[in-house]
Amino acid sequence: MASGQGAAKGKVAKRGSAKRGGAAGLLLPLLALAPLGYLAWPTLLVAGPLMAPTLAAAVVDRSRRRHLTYAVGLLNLSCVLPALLRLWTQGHDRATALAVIGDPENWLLAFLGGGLAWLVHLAMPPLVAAYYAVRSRDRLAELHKRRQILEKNWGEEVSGPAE
Amino acid sequence: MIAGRFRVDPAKRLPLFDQPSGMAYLASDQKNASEAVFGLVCRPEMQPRRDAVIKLSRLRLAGLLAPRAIGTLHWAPDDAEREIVIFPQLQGKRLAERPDGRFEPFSETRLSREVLPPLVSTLKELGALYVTHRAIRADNLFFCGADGQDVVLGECVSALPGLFQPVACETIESGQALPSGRGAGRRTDDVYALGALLVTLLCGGPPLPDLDDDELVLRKITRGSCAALVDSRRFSSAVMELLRGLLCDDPKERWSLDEVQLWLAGRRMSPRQVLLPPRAQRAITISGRRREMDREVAQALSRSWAEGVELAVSGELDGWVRRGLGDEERGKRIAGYRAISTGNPLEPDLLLTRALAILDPGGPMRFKGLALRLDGLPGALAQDYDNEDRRKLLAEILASRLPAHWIELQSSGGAEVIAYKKLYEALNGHLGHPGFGFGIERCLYEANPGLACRSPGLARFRVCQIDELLPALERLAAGQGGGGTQEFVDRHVAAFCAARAKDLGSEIYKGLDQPDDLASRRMAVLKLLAEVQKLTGPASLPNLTRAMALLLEPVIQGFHNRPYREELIAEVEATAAKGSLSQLVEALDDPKIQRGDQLGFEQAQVLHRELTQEIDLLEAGALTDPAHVRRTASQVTAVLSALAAVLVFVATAALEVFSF
Repeated sequence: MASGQGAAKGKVAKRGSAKRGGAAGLLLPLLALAPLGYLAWPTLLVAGPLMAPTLAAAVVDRSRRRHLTYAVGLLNLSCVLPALLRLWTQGHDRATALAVIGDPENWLLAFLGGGLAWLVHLAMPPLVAAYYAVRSRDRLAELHKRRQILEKNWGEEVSGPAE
Repeated sequence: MIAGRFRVDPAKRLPLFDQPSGMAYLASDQKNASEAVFGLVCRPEMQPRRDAVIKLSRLRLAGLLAPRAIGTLHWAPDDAEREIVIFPQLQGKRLAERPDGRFEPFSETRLSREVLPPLVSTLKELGALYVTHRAIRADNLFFCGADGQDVVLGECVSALPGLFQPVACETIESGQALPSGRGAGRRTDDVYALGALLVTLLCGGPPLPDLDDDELVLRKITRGSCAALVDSRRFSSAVMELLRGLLCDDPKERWSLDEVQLWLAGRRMSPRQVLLPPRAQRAITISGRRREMDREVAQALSRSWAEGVELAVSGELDGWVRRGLGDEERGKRIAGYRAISTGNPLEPDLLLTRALAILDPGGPMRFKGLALRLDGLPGALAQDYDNEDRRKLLAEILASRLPAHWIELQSSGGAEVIAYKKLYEALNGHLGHPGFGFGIERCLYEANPGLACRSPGLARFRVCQIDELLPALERLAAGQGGGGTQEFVDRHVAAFCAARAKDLGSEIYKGLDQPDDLASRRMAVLKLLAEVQKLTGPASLPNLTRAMALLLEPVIQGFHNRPYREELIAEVEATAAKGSLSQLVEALDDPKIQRGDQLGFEQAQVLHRELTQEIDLLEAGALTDPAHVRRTASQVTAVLSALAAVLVFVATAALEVFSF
């Protein structure tokens, strides 16, 4: 009993130290990236709000492989790219960033990309289900046919165990 | 047609020439129409002496009804094949219709002038061919010619030697034996029978008609054959001298035919003293009767076997031999065998067998009430095979090596005895093997080289030689009309093949011992018959091949691959039409194809199992499962989004480049 409790405590302690180790592991890169963040502040100012559909997908997507997040993120990012190019080409400063973010065309484009990914995500399961139903039916027919040919050529006893 | 020239007419009986072994019918010689012949249709249970027929058919002798030919013919009245022996017709009449028939007694003068000279001459001719007659008796004697003075000895080939001989005409040792177990014997047996026939002729019938066979044998033992048969009759001293010489119980002392011819020529010899065995000082009681002589005791004990075993095991018998008979040496020998106990359950019986051989060294082999001469065992086996009790007894005799034990106790041997010893040793080996091609059936055919196959399936046929087997089976198959279930090879046919076709070896019979595996068994049958066909022909056996093809249905069904089965059926049908059993074997017994079929079947089983597993998965909704659909849909969405993103990136980049 005592040894069991000890082992449990040990596990908890290990988990705690791992957590602490993980936080420490993140802190250092963040500190290293802080100057970069300062330099990229206008980019973050533009990308942050325009990537809102991706943030929403990241919050909603609880799957292990996070396909939804990737899908929305990639399309959203590709649609944010023209706004970022405008920022980077017209002056990477706060005023330009505010001008870019104030342009509704950029908002429309960014949310159109994210929305499109969302729409595909929502429409895809019925399509895949329909596809699989047809595929399953065809495959079953083929398998039954092959099995019938085997039974015709080798008799019913072919269904017995292979030696 | 017999021998390609003799026809037998079933509608025309000739009762004059009937024998106990068969009935006579008029026959005709297609090559010599002037000669009157008849056919003796042997009863199915008879074993004609084919070897004797072959030798005697070359002989043209006035004093003997010699066979012209022997053959097998489909006999319409019985709707079965019968062995038929062809003889020339005699113009005369039979002396007696039955063995116990009576007739006018012959005078001594007529006997010595008319009867004896032709009989002696005939027996000498037979002796030159090494054939014993063994059927010299009054009802097998014909008187022919215009005045009925020509004596002709009847036939001797339609049954086993001595089978129908009355005990009076047989030597003591032969009379003690089972009629079917008397064996071919020797020339001295014929000389004895001649002597007994003379007494019969002088008496006008059987000399001792009131005695049964056992009493007659005992009378001969106790008085000597001559005294027993002549009894109180009075004959001239010359005739008595002849009879003493012919009926001498010691074969070595018995007259030869030359001595008889000297007697006929008028030379008189000093009469031989009949030496009877000594009588015991004290008699031994067997079955309530007192017996005093060794051979008499042996004969009585062989008839009261259980009592004999008791006397032998208790030591009473050897005690009587030592003290009663006063023969210390023989008593010790019997006691010696009694002391050796091997734990064999047959030991008490074997002890009595040995004791009787010691008491009566020249007598037959005796075992559990059965008595056989050494050369009579094959005949007994053939004649009494269908008698189950006797067959078992004969098998016991062979299994217990009784002939070898009996031979050991004989004072005289010789090449003939050694040959029989070797034969019985071989039979013992065959008997100990339980499989097809062996057992008591093999012994039957090994011991009787001319014996017809006793297979119940071949009951309507007489298959005596291996080359007669397949033609008979072909006719049998033709009779079935393609719908029979006759298996063609049973234990008898297998044993017959093993005995008659030794070139086939013993391996071929092993496959027949598979009662539970019909396909393998029938394949083994086919292989055996195919080998016989290779050995003996005929080249084409369409009915048998077709019947075998039908029987081989389980072999065809043994192949798993259905399309190959169809091909095989077509091939078998084509082969069956050709009538070659070997080709049928080739079609059905290709190990490469069998292995390929088995391998293919195993692979098909594996594939079938995989297909079934996949079908089960799909039917259980493995693809249309909502979780699987969701997972796949999200993957597809991710991929499509990635592609769209790439397109947008490229488009954006292109616009930027072109805007400069």
